[in-house]
Amino acid sequence: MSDAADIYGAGPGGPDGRGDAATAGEYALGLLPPDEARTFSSRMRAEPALQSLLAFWQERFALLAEEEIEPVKPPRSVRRKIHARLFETRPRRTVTRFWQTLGGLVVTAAAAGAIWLAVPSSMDRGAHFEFSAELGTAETPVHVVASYDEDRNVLTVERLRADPGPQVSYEMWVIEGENAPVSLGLLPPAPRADLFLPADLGAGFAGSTFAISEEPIGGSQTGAPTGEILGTATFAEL
Amino acid sequence: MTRTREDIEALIARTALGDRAAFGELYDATSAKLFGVALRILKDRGTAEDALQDIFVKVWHGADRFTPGGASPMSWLIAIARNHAIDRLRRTQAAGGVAPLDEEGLQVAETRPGPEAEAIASGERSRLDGCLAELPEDRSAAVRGAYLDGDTYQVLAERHGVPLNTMRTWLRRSLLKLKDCLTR
Repeated sequence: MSDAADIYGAGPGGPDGRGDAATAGEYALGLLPPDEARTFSSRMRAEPALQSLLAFWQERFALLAEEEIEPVKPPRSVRRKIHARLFETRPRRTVTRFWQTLGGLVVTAAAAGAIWLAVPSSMDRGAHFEFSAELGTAETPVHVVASYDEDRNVLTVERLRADPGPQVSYEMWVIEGENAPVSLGLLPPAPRADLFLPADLGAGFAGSTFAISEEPIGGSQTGAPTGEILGTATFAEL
Repeated sequence: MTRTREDIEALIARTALGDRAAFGELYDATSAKLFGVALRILKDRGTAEDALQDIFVKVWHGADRFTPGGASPMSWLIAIARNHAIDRLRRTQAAGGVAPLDEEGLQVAETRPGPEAEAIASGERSRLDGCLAELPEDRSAAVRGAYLDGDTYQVLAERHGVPLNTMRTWLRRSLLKLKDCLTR
């Protein structure tokens, strides 16, 4: 832009980089014309000094926002929509992370009589769920949805929120009527995992209770829940 | 609930590792402020709600680019929120003749500590106020309007009744004065 060069201090050639300091400020404010903004963006990739100038302005201007802009509570629907956008389509990064940890964990689940596997999104289409239990809500520390597919005898576990930390494990249970709880193994670390159930389990999911308890690392040693129950939910027909 | 700078940094660091619970806490701790920023610029609740979604999607994907110990975590989050809101605003204005920014939009500065990006002490707030007060009143109003409301040079020039290039010269001079004062 030829007229930009006429403006005081404009352009990289200004004395002591002062032109750049002003341009970085304009960029931070979003005032630069698009072509100049593009030029500044591409220069910034090669010139750390420009990054520093931009950081200078962003830090200072942010103080204005901190001071003068009142927080406004957004509606709860925004939180849910963000969650749905990020996690219900399962971004690649979490799937990759899960496969990296698979090896060490399959053993504990298998010990409880079931085997679980992470499901790539391409496999979702085949699933047809008959029953589902939502344990917790977006507001509770543990939020897990378990959905049962009768045809495959598979329980799909969606871990929406659960952070046992390094000291304990979370164990899943199904309780049919007055029967003793049956372990479904540890809560898989993946955002979504398929639990391939033993043939004798699964028939009684309708109306039974899904529960998660806090247990020692590796799961309950007694075969029954020993720690705090973190939540329960009923399997409802879909 | 008030969170310290360290709390927010820790939540961003855990978010970078894919920790959804931490991301949820980060949202709960900061969404009202970032929504306020977006709302102030976009002036429309529905548009600002959509923008807030996009902002947190960007935070989730960009959390690994935040470096603790450099820029303050709130200023990093505010820069993401504001830039996104400005991008949206400029795209809307494009229909009315103001050219949009390129698709990448505005970049947020890297947060590693640098000679000018040192952590800002709490006293900087009053210092900024003091330095803005040293500018002629209409100039500091222009800087505030550009930052807080996303006013363009066009808007500022009309408001102050000066040609666009004059407005730009004013504002660039004001920025340099401001920088001199802040680094004095």
